Amino acid sequence: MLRELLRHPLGLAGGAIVLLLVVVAVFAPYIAPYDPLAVNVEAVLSPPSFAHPCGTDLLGRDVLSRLIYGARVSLEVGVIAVGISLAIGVVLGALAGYYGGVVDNLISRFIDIMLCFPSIFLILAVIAYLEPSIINIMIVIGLTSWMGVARLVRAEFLSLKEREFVLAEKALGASSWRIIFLHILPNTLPPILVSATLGVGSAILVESALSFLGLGVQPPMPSWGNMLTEGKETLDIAWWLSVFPGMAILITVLAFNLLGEAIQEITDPRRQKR
Amino acid sequence: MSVMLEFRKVSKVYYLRRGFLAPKKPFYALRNIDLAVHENEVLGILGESGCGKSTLARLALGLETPEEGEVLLEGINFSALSEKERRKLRRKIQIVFQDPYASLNPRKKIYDLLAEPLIIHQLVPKKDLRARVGAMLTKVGLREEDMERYPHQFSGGQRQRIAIARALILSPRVLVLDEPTSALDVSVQAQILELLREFKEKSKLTYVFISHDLPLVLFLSNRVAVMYLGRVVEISPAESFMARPHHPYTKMLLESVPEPDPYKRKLPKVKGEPPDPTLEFSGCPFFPRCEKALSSCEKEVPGLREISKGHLVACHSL
Repeated sequence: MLRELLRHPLGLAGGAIVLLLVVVAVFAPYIAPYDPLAVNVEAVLSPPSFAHPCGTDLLGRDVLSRLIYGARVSLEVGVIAVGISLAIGVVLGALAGYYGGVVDNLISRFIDIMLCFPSIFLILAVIAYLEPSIINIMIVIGLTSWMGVARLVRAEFLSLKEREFVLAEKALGASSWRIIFLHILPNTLPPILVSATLGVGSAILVESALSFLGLGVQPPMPSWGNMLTEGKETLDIAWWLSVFPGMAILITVLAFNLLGEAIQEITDPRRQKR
Repeated sequence: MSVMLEFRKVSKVYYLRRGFLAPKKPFYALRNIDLAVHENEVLGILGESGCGKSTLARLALGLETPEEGEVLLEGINFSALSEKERRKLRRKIQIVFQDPYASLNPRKKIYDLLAEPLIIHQLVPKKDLRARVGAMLTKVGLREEDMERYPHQFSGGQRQRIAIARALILSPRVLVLDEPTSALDVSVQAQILELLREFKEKSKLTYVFISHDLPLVLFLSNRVAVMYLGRVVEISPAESFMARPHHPYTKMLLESVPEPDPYKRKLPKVKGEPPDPTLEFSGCPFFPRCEKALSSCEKEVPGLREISKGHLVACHSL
């Protein structure tokens, strides 16, 4: 699969950016030119230069270093929140789609109820109640974003379970467990992967929004969202404080989307040429 | 000859809902079927679409439970078993479906597809799986290397060979063939039938061959059962099937077989269509289309009667 990804230009670009982000996040302490928390009164609000490629903020902290540490927060939140939402969404969607009837009705109504809440307000309410911390944010985003995946998986299961190969599996004596996880689920993988990569992007957005509103990652710890908050105060005199975190969010979300779509095309076995 | 598979007074009912809030209507897919398949024979089942052929196949595999009566495989009643035991029993009866494009999971390699039945039933130690799969592929006329490929890389006929290999790798006693050739080209049909005949002779299999294609059924079968609207209307040895008098419906089927010689060709005499299967009526199901209908046909359902040895017909006029 990796070899085919290398032949897919857009997927390669997306994958490369995601990989770069992972490397940057993991090795942040070695890559960042400055301590992201170090205050430098002599270089307050200095525009981008060789010493500070992305400039410095109100307290003279290096924006590039803060962005690099912010990548850690964003990726952690994105990946773990999506992991939680996939775990819930796939299991509930698979059960609802495969068994149908009462099970489906219960799960589908539960999904409807969850979708009734505007999720950003739900998250805000929960976070306001609990204390804002990265772990709480990841869990809450995960718990409020699984409905799309569940519906997707349910719909895939509804159509796939009627396919003749499922009947053929039953005829062989395969158990329901085997049919659900080894036969139907692999067929739903491309849409799940796409939705997961899109999910990472939107989880990063939600985290940024929460941090922007002051309910996410708490300063002085940097995240792309709370950097934007700080940047908006000085937008007219220091554009670099808003533009660079904004670009970071944009490029990251875009990269995940490109990667997701490339994976979808590659995993379709009918597309393989040989 | 011992009985391998037996249907005893089997009825299968589906409930259809017609429109919102309308009461559910019962629909008899099978009605009071009595049928025995003997060891080492090929029983052909002939009928138009919608007559219950495929339902019969599903019941034979215990994939569905009959509302009335029982289905026995080597004397064991499927409905009396737990789900787990039922799955185990399926080793003895396998099925080949009509459409080899739909019945093979497109995401699995041929190796995975063929090894899976062996893994489910834990028949072969893990290290021998590859060899067994390879041997089975050669038996159905494919190459061992083909196990690394995906279903979409094969033609329809090759896929049907894979489906047959998959069913036979469990060494079942009975193989149900649900229209195994009707999705294939005529030339490929012949190859598949030849393959099936070879297997039958080599491994003493019992076949239930379901088809709407009369010449195909006669080619392979020892006995033929004709179905109409969920009932068996005639059972006959294959040899006498063409020659003897039959149920009026069977006659109509025989006359509708296309004649290859254009000078002998005449218009098929098919009259009418099968009635709506959800309608309830008291008499013979074929009555509305029958040329020989008697007054009793409208009121009473004819039962199967033996008119000569091994030849049973359900008709009042004979």
